[in-house]
Amino acid sequence: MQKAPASLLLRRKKIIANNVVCYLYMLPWLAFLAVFTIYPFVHGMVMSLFNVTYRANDFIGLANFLELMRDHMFWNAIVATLKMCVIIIPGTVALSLWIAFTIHDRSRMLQSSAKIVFYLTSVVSQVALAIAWKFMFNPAYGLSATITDMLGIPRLDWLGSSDLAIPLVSALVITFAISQPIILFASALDGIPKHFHEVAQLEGATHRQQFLKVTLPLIRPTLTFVIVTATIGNLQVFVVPYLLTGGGPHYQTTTMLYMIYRNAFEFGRYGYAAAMGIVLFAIIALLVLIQYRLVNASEQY
Amino acid sequence: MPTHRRFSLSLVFLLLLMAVSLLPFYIMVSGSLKPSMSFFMVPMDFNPFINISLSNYRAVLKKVDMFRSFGNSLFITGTTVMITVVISAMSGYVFAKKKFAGKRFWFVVLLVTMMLPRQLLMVPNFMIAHSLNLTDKAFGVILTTVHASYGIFLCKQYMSTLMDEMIEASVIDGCGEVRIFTEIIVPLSTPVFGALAIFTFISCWNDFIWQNIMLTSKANRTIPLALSYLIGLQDGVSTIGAQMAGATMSMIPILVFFLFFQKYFIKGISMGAVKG
Repeated sequence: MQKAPASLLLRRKKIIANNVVCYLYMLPWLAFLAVFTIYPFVHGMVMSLFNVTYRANDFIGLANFLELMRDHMFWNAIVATLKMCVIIIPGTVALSLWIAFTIHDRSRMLQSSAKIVFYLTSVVSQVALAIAWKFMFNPAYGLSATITDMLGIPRLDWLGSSDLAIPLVSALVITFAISQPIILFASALDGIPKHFHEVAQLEGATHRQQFLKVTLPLIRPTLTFVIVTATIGNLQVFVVPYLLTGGGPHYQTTTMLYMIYRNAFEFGRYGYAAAMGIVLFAIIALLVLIQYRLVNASEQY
Repeated sequence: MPTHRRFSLSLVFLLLLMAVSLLPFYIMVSGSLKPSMSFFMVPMDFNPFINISLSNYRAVLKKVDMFRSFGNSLFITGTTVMITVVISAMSGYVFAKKKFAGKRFWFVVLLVTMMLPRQLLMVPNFMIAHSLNLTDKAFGVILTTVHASYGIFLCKQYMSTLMDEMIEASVIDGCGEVRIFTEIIVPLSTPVFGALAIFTFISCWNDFIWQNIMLTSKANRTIPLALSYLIGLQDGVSTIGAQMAGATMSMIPILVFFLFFQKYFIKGISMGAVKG
């Protein structure tokens, strides 16, 4: 009778000690999380309700959001971002899947050299790449001028024309956006047992049928992951337009993150920029949610 | 045979894509060796075997202090990598091998912060850094760049595969909590630390936007900032070559690093996203 409470006490002590140890291990993470993730998140929400500039810091309620609704530059940035995403996201997914599919079942040499080559662009700084791209697509000299002259067609002002700037910036983003998905798709394809395809072949399935009915369903988790991360990443395009076009021509390549950057760090309107950040966050969250829904719905089917 | 032809066509297209992907590197390296005037010739002269000069490298070293920027980048990146790996190892171990109150809750927090785009917090983060007096300091950049959620997830995934029996046996042998971690978990997890270190290194070394916001003075410029400063210089003819020389110099260490460790890269990427 007397022993039970003592051992219970001991057990409780042990559990508490264990919890203390666990939280001590997590302490550094939790400290960083609190100061540089959770607090900024809350602070950003609060800031969006204030007029924060170099001088002012006044509560203005929802005035920032009301101004956003009327700000045609802001809508312009949303449209520019979505236009790019419509090219970048499907382009990235399709191209990386195609490359992974093409190198799959080929020699080790080709597989690893393709992975290395396509990964190189995301290893080096986008600033360094922008230097080369700027030269390549200059209207007056460089690679583009050389090629158009050879073909005998007029020279193209890639970065200065409203028809060409968005496709070009999107295409350049794709060149480094595909690196990681290629490797992910390749390892997903390697994970499919060979006899699946052998059976399908015996049953008389064509290449296309095999791809759609066998391969695609089996790599669905990877596909979902790639689509979601591509969406999150590419709604935040910034460096390429910042360095290459300066957001032009006519603000055609001024993306949402670029607008946030300009409002905060060029115009000093921190509160307004924070409000934009919240809207961008809402858009990203909404799109990711829709994607998850779509994928789950088709899975049931 | 139609299938055979289709396959070789796709191979040709693949090799073409690889060439396109390597093109900016070729332009950069061969351009860095060309005298200024050759940039304005159409058709351009990018034959790396003729008409070579090192004047661009001399020019870039005159315009920016590349070696200092190297040192700055190396210090910021190296410290960020170390802090990230240590934090990730500690928390990853707890998530992989321990039961504690609130574990589910914190795991959800981990997943959410892993998906949360960091750059959305750029404005409030800058305000906080400013009020803590961390702007324009290497130390400030390090503190605000450390973001361990992804690393914790990576470590947790890997450490979950380590056998519990080993831990139990060492408890019986009288191993304390700290020794289990430092003498059993850490030595067995070096592959995941390697992968994590590589990712953190690359993303921090190339992080332009945040460093551009945080570091304003010339002495603190990192490599991406030195390069963007070169792009911004509008002093005519000589700059393009100097930019390319700067870009080439900036690529060398990271490319060597990458080619040396590329196996870990490819393994590490598949490691992190198994259950994305």
